[in-house]
Amino acid sequence: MGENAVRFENVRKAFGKQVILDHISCDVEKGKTTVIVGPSGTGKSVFLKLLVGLLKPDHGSIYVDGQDVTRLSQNDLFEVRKKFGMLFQDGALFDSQNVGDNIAFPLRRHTRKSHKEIMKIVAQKLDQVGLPGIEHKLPSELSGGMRKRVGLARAMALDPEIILFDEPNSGLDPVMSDAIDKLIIKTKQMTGSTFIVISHDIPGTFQIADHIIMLYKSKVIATGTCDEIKASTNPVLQQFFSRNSEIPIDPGYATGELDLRPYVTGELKDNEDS
Amino acid sequence: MNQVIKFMSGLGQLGFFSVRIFTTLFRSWPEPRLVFEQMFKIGVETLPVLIAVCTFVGTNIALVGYHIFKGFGGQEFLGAYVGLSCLREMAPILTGALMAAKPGTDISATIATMRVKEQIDALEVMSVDPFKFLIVPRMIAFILTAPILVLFADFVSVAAGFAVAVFQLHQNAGHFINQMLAYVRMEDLINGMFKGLLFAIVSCILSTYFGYTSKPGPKGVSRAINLSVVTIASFIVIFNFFLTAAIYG
Ligand SMILES: Nc1ncnc2c1ncn2[C@@H]1O[C@H](COP(=O)(O)OP(=O)(O)O)[C@@H](O)[C@H]1O
Ligand SMILES: [Mg+2]
Repeated sequence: MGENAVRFENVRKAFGKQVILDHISCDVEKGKTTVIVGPSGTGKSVFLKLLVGLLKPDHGSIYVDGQDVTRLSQNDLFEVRKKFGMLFQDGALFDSQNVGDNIAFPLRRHTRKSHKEIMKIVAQKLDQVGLPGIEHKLPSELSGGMRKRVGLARAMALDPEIILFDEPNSGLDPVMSDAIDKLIIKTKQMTGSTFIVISHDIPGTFQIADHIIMLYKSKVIATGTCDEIKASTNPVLQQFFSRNSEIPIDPGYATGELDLRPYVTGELKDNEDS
Repeated sequence: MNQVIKFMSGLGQLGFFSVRIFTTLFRSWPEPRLVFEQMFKIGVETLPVLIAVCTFVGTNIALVGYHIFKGFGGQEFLGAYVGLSCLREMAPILTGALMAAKPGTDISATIATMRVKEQIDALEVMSVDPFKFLIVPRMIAFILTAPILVLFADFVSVAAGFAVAVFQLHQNAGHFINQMLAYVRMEDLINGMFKGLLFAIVSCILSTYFGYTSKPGPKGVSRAINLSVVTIASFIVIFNFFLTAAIYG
């Protein structure tokens, strides 16, 4: 196992009486793609928000390059966050700014580059995500898939060490979803950064992951490489991965998104200790 | 009981929120461009309505005043009455109310939408303080424009009252002005501007607060707008009573 980029140690987060994450301990290896899977509503987004310090855990520590982000002042937190780029679920582009300004935003804030240099980087990043020359379009003129690509271009603007993806496939048709997975693989090879991807799209997960962390009922129930996860005898995992990957995408399900909630919750016994 | 606790914790949150606005403001001045953008927006959004409303409030103050004073032959006080009521009360209240209604709701809607669409989280992850980038420029713009807007409101409402007095009620123009100048002092003008400033600060805090703490979904946005308008409008009227009582006894 190589160096860790991120380490969670016994992290707990509750909103009021609702415990979202509990006893979460896991490592994310540097320079690898780690996919965090789990049914909707298990707290995958909360996991990412804890990591970037948007939320504070009730207890536990979260280390980024050995620095505990849960104990940083606002200013130090802003410093640490410069290591991160994050692609939000719907891109989170600023509506009032065009695509070019959106991608230029972090560059204008955090570098002393000239306008010309910045626009060159913007063009280059747009090219990398397969959308060259759309600087002047507004976010509202883009499709969901395009917004995510632009969001990725913005997340990569400062060449961050760690890139976070919150459900890059949700809301996309299967073809577009696969295209995004391919783009993630390509970007990964190009940048060599650490990728942390949240997903509940199973074929995509096996395509892009070096490591998989599975969250289920507020706990980490399994970690390992794709092969280890595929070979696991844990019934929850088996149900989650092998069986559901057989489910054809319902053409009537316009988003092409696999919502695993009906397959995982309810009928299954909690079986964390296996 | 639960409601009371919720309300109190809401107040506490609002307190922390306001403190954070002002500490951010004093620690680091935002880019002037962001402030000018907001000032321009406030001006464009508020001035036309403010002028229209102040015109008709000014005319009515003159009319009502005339008929009251005529009852005991005190018409000559009309100028003083129009001047004092416009400068002390009407202009600042109308400015505050309209700043809450137009730029205020605009702020709530914009910030709530940004919250709901994770754009505020995106700002934070990009190491940009949303208070510094979104809220403080709006606060400074409110602070700088409010007194100027009050001056506009003063001028328009008094001019409208004057026009009604002279052209409709056939009062002597010179007498109206002399009366007004004899009773209205510089302090009235300044106090009015100061009141408008306070209303603007409160409007800005509340509308940014309700936007910033908006709950997810389209419902969250509309709730944010609703809450900010209702709270600010009630607050201004109540606050105004205490201010007037404090200033003029
Ligand atoms: N800021 C918050 N306040 C209260 N509850 C929250 C907040 N953020 C998330 N939750 C709750 O935490 C749970 C997990 O949310 P989330 O992390 O978004 O799930 P997912 O795994 O689908 O990304 C949900 O039940 C959600 O309602
Ligand atoms: Mg989520």
